[in-house]
Amino acid sequence: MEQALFISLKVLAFDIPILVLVGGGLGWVFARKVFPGREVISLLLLLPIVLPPSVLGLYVLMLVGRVDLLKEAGFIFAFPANVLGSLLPSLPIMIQSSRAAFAGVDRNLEETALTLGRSPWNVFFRITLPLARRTLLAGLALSSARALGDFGTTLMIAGNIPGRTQTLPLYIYGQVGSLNFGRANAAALLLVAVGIVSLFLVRRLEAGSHERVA
Amino acid sequence: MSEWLEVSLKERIGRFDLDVSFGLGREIGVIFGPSGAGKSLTLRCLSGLQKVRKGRIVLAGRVILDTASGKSIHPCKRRMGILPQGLALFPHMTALENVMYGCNRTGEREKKTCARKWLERVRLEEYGNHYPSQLSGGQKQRVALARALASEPEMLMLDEPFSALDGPLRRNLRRDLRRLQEEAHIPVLYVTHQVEDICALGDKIFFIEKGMLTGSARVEEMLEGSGRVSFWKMMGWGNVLEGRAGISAEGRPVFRWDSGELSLKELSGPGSAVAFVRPDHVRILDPRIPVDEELSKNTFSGEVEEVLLEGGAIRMHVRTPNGYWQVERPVHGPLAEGIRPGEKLFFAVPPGAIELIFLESPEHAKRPDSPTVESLSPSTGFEESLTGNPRT
Repeated sequence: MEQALFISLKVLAFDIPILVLVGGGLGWVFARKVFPGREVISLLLLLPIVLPPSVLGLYVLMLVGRVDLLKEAGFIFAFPANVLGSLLPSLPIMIQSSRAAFAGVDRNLEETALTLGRSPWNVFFRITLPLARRTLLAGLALSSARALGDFGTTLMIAGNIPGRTQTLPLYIYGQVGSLNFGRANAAALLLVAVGIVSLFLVRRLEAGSHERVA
Repeated sequence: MSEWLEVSLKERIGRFDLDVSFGLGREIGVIFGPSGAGKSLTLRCLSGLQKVRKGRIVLAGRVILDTASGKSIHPCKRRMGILPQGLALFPHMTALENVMYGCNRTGEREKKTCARKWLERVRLEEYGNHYPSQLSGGQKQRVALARALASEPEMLMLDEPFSALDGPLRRNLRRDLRRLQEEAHIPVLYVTHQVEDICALGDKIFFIEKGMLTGSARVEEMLEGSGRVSFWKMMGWGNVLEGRAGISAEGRPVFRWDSGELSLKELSGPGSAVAFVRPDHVRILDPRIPVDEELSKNTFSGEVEEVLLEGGAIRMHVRTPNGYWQVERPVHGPLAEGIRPGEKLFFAVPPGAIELIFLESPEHAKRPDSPTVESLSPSTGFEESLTGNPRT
């Protein structure tokens, strides 16, 4: 189980920065920029949430099969496929959350900060980000939990190779197949605990205010 | 003579055209106009928050915007502070941190010293550690004002900042603003639709309607002599009647216009005149209660056509057989609550509330053989006896 836990944590270590930068960045773009096709692109990016993981995995396999560079890089059934497999269904959650987070920041505050002589970067880090922080963190907690628990897409494109691509959910699947319910239960409990902590964090973040507690 | 601030702006948003040009010295200019006239848009264009199709802005000799040469300084470098309607205090920062954010200093210590100084100047030194949600309406206004001025702008713009406050608080804040403007010695542009703001604050007034400047004048000129008539008309506020003042057959001093008559308190002499009655001086009556002797000759009744909430007051536009009247009452004042369009309203104009401006020379007006109202031929050429038309 340690190996599976280690691989899962390693996947998360790659996923979280990508979720923050790509998910947060796209959320900001959708919240703040108006461009043709914005809603269509936004909907397409949400598709992975509603598509069955097997369908998602199948499309990725077909795509990789057609791109020589990815095929030769040994992308499939390797760790990068673990990262991609867990990201695909979790990234839309982060995009949606960050879009809501940035859209919730009053533009008046940002504009007034600009007229006070502060640069757009300063305004982003001192005003926008602190005010969007709670919803962003809630989104990150939910999307990370989703990434950690991904099963279907990861199985389709990364396989279930112990010590290489086997994450905790795949480990549980393997142990149940071998009728080792004790081990499966231990791993399952770990994921349940992560889920409960995530939900607790989300609830706390949603209920809090922007003011710091003195 | 060139002004400290010179502005020429042309912008189109959808079907709305903004076309304003004006100049302002280091004084308080009030932009006055109805809702949707383009007041706030003017401020946004000035501050650079709204791109302008065509225009030129020069502030303190510095070209801020010149679309002809493609120059447009970013809002963060314009040094034009703005106080938006909602004040835009940062909710995650204390009052002190809010002002510190505005301070144009390097180093935390210098910023803190600067912010404390500004909080002292607005008498809020004890509230530095309070978050905006812990401050009252007036305190928030002061923090926002201190923050805007701490950034050492070369100009300050205020977008109806006191609109949500009631009488005494507004008066205090206006005094503060006037004092701070004199200390900072920068032009201040103040957007309002409240007449009392103009009288209390403005050095210069700009009238704006449907995106166009319809007039501008110095406030002291507008509040003196016959200039007042055009001032009232431009504002579209108040009841302005054109007619003649004289003595009635019963020997009472009266003002008569083509569709009605008002009893006056006293009369210096007959003659053509304009009578002005402030809407807040018109008294709403309860028809079940007997009317005061003084008011009995000046009572009217009509149908409320429009009810507008403006600041702390309710303004009603009432259609009577004698023309349109504007009647104003405090939001929570007696007899004002619950009045809806379509309802009948009884009101009276106290003779002492009628302000007369003679259009003829006083000498002529005071001649002993001056004709009485009855002997005068009916005046012609009036567009409408009462020019305080309901605003849209």
